[in-house]
Amino acid sequence: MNLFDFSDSVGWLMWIPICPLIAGVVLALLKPSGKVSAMVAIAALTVSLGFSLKAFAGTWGHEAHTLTHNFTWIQIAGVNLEFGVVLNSLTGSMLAMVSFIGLLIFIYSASYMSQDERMGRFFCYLSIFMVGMLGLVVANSVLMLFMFWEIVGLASYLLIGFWFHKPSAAAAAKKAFITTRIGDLGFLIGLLWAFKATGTFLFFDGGVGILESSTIAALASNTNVLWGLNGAGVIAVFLFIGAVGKSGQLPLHVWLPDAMEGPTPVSALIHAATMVAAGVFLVARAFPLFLADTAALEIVIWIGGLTALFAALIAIAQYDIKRILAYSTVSQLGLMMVGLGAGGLAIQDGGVSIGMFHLLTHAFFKALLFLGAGSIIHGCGDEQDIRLMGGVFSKMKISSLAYLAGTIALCAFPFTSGYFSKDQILLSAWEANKTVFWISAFASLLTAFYMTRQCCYVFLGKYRGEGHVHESPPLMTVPLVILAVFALLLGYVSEHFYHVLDYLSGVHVHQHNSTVVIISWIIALGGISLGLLVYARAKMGIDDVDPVKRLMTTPYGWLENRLYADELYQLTAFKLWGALAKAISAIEGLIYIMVVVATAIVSMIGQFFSGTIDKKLIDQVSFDGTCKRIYESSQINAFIQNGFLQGYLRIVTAGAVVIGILFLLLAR
Amino acid sequence: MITAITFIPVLAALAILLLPGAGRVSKPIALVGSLISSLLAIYVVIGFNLEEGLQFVEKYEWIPSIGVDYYVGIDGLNALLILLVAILSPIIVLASWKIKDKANTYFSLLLIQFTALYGAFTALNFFHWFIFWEAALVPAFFLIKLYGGNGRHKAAISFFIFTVLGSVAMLLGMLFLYLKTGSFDFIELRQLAADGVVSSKLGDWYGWIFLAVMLGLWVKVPLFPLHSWQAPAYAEAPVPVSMVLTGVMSKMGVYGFLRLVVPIFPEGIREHSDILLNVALITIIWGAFLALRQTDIKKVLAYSSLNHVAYCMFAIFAVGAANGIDKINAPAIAMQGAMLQMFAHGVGAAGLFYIAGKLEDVGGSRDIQDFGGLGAIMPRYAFVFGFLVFSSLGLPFLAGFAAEILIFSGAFALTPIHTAIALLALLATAIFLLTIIQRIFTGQAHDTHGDLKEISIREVMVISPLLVLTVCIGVYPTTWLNLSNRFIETLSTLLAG
Repeated sequence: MNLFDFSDSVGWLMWIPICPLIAGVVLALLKPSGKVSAMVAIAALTVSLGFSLKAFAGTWGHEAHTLTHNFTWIQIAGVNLEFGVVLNSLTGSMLAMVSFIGLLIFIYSASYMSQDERMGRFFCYLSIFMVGMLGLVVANSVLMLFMFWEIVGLASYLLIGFWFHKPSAAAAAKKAFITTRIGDLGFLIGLLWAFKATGTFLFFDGGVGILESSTIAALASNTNVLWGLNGAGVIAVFLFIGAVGKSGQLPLHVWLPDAMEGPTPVSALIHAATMVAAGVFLVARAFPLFLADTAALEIVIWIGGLTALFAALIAIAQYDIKRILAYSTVSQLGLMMVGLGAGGLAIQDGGVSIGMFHLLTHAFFKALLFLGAGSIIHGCGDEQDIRLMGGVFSKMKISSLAYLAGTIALCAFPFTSGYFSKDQILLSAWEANKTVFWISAFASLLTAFYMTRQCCYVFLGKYRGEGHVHESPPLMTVPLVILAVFALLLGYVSEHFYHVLDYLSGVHVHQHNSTVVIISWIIALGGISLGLLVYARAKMGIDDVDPVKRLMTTPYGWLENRLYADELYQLTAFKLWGALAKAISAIEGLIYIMVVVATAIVSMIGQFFSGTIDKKLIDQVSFDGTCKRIYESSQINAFIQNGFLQGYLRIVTAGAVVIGILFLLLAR
Repeated sequence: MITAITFIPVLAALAILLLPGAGRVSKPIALVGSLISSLLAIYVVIGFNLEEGLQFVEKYEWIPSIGVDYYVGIDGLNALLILLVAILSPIIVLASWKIKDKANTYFSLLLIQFTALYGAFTALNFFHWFIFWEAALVPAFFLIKLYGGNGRHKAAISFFIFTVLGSVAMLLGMLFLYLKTGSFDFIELRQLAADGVVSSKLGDWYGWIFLAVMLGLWVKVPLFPLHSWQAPAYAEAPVPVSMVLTGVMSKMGVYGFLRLVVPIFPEGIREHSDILLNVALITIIWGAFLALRQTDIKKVLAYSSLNHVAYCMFAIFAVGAANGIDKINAPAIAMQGAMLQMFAHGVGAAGLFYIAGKLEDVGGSRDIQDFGGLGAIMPRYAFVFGFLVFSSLGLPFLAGFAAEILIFSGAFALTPIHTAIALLALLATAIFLLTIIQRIFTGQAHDTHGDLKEISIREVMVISPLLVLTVCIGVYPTTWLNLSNRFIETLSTLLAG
């Protein structure tokens, strides 16, 4: 590994995760004050951002290039388990996005967390998170990617449970770790399978890496390996299980809304912009494997589409401002999956850019929404229930305008960033699968609707809470404004100045369909209008019934209860798992009884012999008697004179005699 | 040199017992004794030449009439384990610092234990290997029996009886083998096995002798269904003794498999690899799921230990199921994983028992339900605890992951379905370990916890070498794997057939 060669090799990419690692270690060991901690972490991440922009610039205009630098982690019997870094447009764009948004959120956190006495610890955890996230982006080895992926999971666990004195936060942290670990087991099988089938963990390795055409062709030529998938598809599907866990897709989505127990900057950084997108990134990274088997792509679009719809429905009936955004994130991640899957089905190689483009735009507007929500929550005296907000607009103008910018981008309002990226997804879905297209389109309509609903609750009418609403300090609002600019303009710029889709996939992507464009206009404008129609004049206090609920009481109740996914798992998977543990414990109990009985019998035999034969030699040859004597005398002669040792020797001698006789008999 | 390493602890023990007045300074004597051995052992392992086989050999005729030599040496198989004993023994002495009652007996027993462990890992002749093997049992028995918790009597006796019965079976098997082949020498027996002499001489008895020899190790590892002695023994033993048991003694069984069974009876393992693999798999699942329903923290860790050590056996048996060597050399990878797992688990589990033992010290209970909110009161303790827990549940860049990923990479290529099922245990492990953290450290502190003290600097000093080691193993395992690379490549090829 050559970290200091900045010209030819790309080993220097390792500095990008190493910088926050240094910060994290320094913060963990030296425990400086909160302010100093924030400065150390921000400084380190700024250096990472510098390297990330260098990486980004290096891929700009060289989208077809893939540069790698590999090194051996473990060598066993001539076989190498290798690590490496890879630089291509996927790496470059992700690095730039993750470090840039990360830096903004770090700055925001320096103000948001300034009242918390464990602020130093907070920045330590955030730094650990950046190590994992940036590491998994640069990884050129599926094993290394998995390792950083797990570090990200650890950081997520620590940060969700940051306020661990709240039992709900501690429970949410555990739930997040364990639910994503279920997915990780799939990921693990996928990478083990890839190693078994290809003999390497590397993605790119001069023609023999997992993702390179000859390997993919060899894998795909193995048809019907498992469940009708070919050799490449089966690896893809197992990796996708990992992505399902991390990106909160059905059926493993349940952890993400609970993860909102963490501090709001954490929700913005980890549970909106970056970590949860890691699953989508994984699919994008391993895209050639998915392309090799249409069945794998079909699985991706169906899971993605159903997740998008499912989460969007639930979001309609939530009242916690962060939970609404969380379900929205789940839904948007589903759309990204649809983008990848449908893109792959419709335009093959170019498909990777469809999902990735939405990932990038979403990162900006969703981070903006969460940070905006944090600012509003802050302003309303730590209130998260939208029924207790209202009339916030006039009192927090900067935060509110920024929030609205994020909202219209999420609603895919024409010419915002979300419009361009969602449009591409719908275009691909139209070509690939009409059912999934309509599912996605409906989910998008719902998105516009629930975001409008939320904005009406928060911004319109009179303030219904009890706090004193006030604007946040500049350290918090400046990042909001920067993100708002990106949320509004990113799509337009990248569409016209430089074709981002071509950049992301390395091939020319051209999709056009007037019908779909019209439909997406109708979705965005229709959803917003519908929302305004229902909520603009509604009563929205805590005691009032939501207007939609008045129309459809029962189904709305199901949605309020998050369609009972948690309850369903309680009744099925948890029960099954518990029953298994119970059964094993019961059998173990039986085995243990046998142990006790056997022990008793053997000691009785021992005592019988020692009791009857040795009465004259030793007073009391029980284990207890001898032990007591050793314990009391603590002398060397106790070891020699104690009955136990004699008894033991006697058993050995007797055994030897028996053995001798046996062997005499056998040897003949 | 090896003889010195082996016997210095027992000399220290004799000094404590015999020298007038030495009883009052038993702790420093024990520390110095174990430390000298450790430093010598570390020096030897550093001097170990990776390019060569058996080194530091000492071989003297002992009882020539029955072919017994005093024969010790270091090769790729035991180097890492000697290092493990060397690292853990002074730490275990330090962990025992607070023993007050009958300290001289306690430390003598502990030192005798160390001698037995060094002896068992370096012996190359069955005769004195077995003496050390048995000798390791006796101090452990007394330490549990005399210094353990409330259920110590029962636990000590079933521990003793189980292991002795296993040992007797093994002894009988090896004596029979000796009668047929005329050798107690591991190196010679290995050659005889390779030449087909062992199987031809044993004839129809092969299966029975294989079983008998395996039985002793089966109990020691332990594997299902002979594992039930383990949890009570680990739970009732005083904490430093639990550290010995889980850190080192549980590795003796695995080591025995690699030293005796694999070289001498490779066909036996290959022929029965199906059953053996299933046994190891059941043990893995068994340990993990039993731990799920426990609230006694030491029992949780004991079952977790059962689970983790069974991964080693799983890897070995998976190699037995291999059909030759493929291009990724999965057998070598799996078996190297087992080697690293022994080391990593030794370090990690000893640390976990130590740190969990603090709980009983400060709170007077081993039940995790009696605690809550300690994270706010004892942040340093929480950090160390969490660190070791995440290593144990396989967090990358810490020791546990490096070993397990090797085991899984190798085993999955050899027997994918078994391996996929074994992965379920990873989920269970995460659940029970994070439940412990949730119970003990999160939420509001109980009212009764007001007077709990943060762990002291001395305790942090005791544990920190283990933490550093955990990171070193996890980040760059190659350093440790190199010790056994050459040996395991040959051994795994032998077993894979």
